[in-house]
Amino acid sequence: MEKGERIELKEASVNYSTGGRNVAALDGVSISIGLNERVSVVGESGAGKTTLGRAVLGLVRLDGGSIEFMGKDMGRMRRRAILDFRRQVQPVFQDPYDSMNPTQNVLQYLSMPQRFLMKSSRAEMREKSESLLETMGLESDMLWKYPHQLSGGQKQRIAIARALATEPRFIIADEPTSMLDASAAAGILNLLRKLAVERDMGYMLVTHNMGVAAYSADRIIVMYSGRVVEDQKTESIVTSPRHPYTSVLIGHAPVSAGVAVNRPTELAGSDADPDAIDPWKLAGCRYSARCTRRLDECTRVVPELKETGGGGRAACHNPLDAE
Amino acid sequence: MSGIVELADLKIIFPTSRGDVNAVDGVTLSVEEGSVFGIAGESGCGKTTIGLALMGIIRKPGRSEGGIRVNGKDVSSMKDEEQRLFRWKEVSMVFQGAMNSLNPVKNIGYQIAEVIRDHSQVTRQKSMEMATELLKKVRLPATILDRFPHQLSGGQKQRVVIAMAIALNPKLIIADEPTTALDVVSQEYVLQMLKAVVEASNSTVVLISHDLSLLAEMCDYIAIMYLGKIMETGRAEDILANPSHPYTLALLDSNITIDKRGKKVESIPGYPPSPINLPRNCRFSDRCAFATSECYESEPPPTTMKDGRTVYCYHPRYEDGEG
Amino acid sequence: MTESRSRFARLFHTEAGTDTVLLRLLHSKSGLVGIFILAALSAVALLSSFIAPYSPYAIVASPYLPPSQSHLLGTDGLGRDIFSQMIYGTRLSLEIGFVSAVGITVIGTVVGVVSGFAGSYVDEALMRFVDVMLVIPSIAFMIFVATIMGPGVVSVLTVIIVFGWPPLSRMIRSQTLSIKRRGFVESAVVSGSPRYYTLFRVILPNMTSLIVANAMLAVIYAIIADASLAFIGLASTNSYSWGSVLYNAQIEGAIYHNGMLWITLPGVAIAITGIAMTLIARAFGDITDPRFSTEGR
Repeated sequence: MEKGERIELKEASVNYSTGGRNVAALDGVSISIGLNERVSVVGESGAGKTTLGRAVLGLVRLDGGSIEFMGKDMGRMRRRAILDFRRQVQPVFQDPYDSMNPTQNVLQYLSMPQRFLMKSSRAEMREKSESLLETMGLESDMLWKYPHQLSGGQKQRIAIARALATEPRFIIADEPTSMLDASAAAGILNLLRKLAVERDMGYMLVTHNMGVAAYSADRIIVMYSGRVVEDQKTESIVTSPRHPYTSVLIGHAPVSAGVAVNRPTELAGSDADPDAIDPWKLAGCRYSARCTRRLDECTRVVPELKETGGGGRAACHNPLDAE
Repeated sequence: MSGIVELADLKIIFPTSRGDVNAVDGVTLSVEEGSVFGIAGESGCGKTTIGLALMGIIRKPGRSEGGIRVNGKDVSSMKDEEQRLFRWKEVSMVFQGAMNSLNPVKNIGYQIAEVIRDHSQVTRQKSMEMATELLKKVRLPATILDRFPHQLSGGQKQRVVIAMAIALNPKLIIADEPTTALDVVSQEYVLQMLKAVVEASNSTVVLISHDLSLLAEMCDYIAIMYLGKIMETGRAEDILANPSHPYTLALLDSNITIDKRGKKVESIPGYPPSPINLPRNCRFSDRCAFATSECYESEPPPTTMKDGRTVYCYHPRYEDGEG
Repeated sequence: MTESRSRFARLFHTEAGTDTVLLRLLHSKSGLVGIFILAALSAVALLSSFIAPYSPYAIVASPYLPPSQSHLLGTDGLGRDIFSQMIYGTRLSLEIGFVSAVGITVIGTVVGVVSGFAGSYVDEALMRFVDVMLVIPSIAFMIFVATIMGPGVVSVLTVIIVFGWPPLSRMIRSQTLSIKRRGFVESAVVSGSPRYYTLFRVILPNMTSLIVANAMLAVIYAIIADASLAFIGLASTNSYSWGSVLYNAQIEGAIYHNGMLWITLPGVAIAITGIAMTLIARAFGDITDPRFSTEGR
């Protein structure tokens, strides 16, 4: 891969105001992702992981910082450049039940990106749509089906097919399996991985499930309250997390029956209640109210995302030791 | 010996314009008093319908056949008034969206006290004291009493609902996906709290969930359902460690857990057949890797294994358990 | 298949399958009854010159005759046949109803959709204008128009349309806002769909049933409004609608001359049309809702 073929966020910030208070859904996030990397962004609700994905797609406006696609600032892109970007970066949304237009059939749905981004002819669109269905392991008579005639798993496959229609370099998938049954979920994740390998395509998988992240990604980015707290290769983050929050998420990830678990605790000072604290009111590290490794400075100084060795980064004043 | 819940060949049928949907299709089971009994399965398997049937809330035009006895009483033949007293007092329910069922314009204290006063002759003063006591049990501070639902987080609201469910010391609590809408860490706290509360009061819990990791942690007994029927039931430990029905095996295999990273997780091939006009053979046979001709011909009868579990399969996998 | 359909057919293409809407309407009981009534009324309107025994303007008998064999509803103060006026009135009333409904629906839909989709200052400007339209006292405005334009069909249509579209645009706008947030709209946006396509081909088809149902109701609104306008002198004196027949009945003291029929029949005709339109609107809502579809997966 050539140098510069990356998506780079530089101090990207997005603010929302809900319930009379301002919340930084993204708070100075700086990360760089190669177009052929398979990464996962993990966090609880309110971590900003969905906003991160939407910001990269240009679906939310930044309030600060910038996002660069292959060295070009997305905020300054003209329509032609945006269409070029859309050809190369495509999303798969969370809710398969909502991502297809009830009044369009599968062919019309799959034709849209080809028509607008590739200027394909009608015959080309028909042919391409059929081959996409085949890639997804679906019958070609499905072209004439409407969304209410399809199951959730089938719809999610079609959503992926739509994203692949322009042969993109990179896919952003926001919780693509959270609304599916376990048996269907594994199929979708396997398919995504297989396609990525075959087409030398990267993806960013946004999920709340550390198990799914570890299964599908080579690199995991952990977010908490709008900030990146850790960014490591999958194997090293799972076996040796450096940020205390990461270790909690890993400890609470689903395990197979019979596998021993070590569940790291959080601060009893908060009455063992992770819901009781508003992290946006904290001056220093937003996780500090729940953290068992809290130092004095944690409540005062925002920790920087620093190199931890081995190519990883963590934002913690008192990180766990590397094993 | 008769358990607190006795289902005898229970069938629940919802007529639709396309034919009858057999949501529950011949379920026989017995739940031992004081235990945590899990019902697992994917969407559409009938687990939620069983939960509703136990509460006596099968909406018309749905109808039930066969026996549903809870605490020795026949639920299906109850009159309206009898049912009203029966709910909350003998059986209560916590469901996934329960936190959204709180009244937005009444404070939490009022809502808990209302449940208490509705079913027992206590003064307003006394009921408020009881509400405070209940909040303590679910580890929420008494200050919550004056709060309104929108001021609480999801985890807190779900705990308020649990407090309401245990308010009248019911013999049986039905918990349908009680933590699915919560973050992993708060899920853990809510479950631990539920477990502690139940142990202290010696209530019985029927825990309905798609999450096998959660059930493994919580349950004494478990029933695995597929398309309205039990596939396998017995002690949770035995079944989850050594699944015997091919469906249980496939379900466990397709469950993505953090220890499976780097390995290939296989999804279950195919899609479940329509619940209308169910096949008269083993309903998993089309998707089963071990199916033989007899599986396509007739429905397998229950087989009791050495460890006490019951399996509905001609070819149970876990041979050591065979009776 | 759908690709080769005309634009019109596509607008009316329901989610559930390839049956035409008309065919599916006829399958539902209320739709069948509604369409039957409407067809009968339309036949009367189209064939009025054959059905009516006399010209509605011609003086054919003595004034104020009671109902009889030769004059089914009697005659008015100039000796004109009231039955013929009712028959011709059917044509004008339906014309006013349908033309106004088309005008109201087109303006209301375009303003609502554009306002909801564009957002920011476009939305702000359009909705403030709608607010103004909604608070203008309509009676005063109608009298104003009557003075400027003089009575006649054109004034009636103008007034009905001008006051008919604002509430519809409100409804369409809020529907647009809620559909705009749905995942499939975002799906279209990331597929490079230009604005016009997102608006008219992705969002709008999801409101077809709402729009058609409201158009049906607008027909009744217009027919009733026409009757009311007759009473403030906006209706044309040289053409008959049900409204003007009713107005004449009232000012000429029908009750004293030829009984109840003259004064009640226009109202009955309006009510029957109302029932037909409501039945069709309801059936239409049912069949375009995919949940009522009989085809499953």
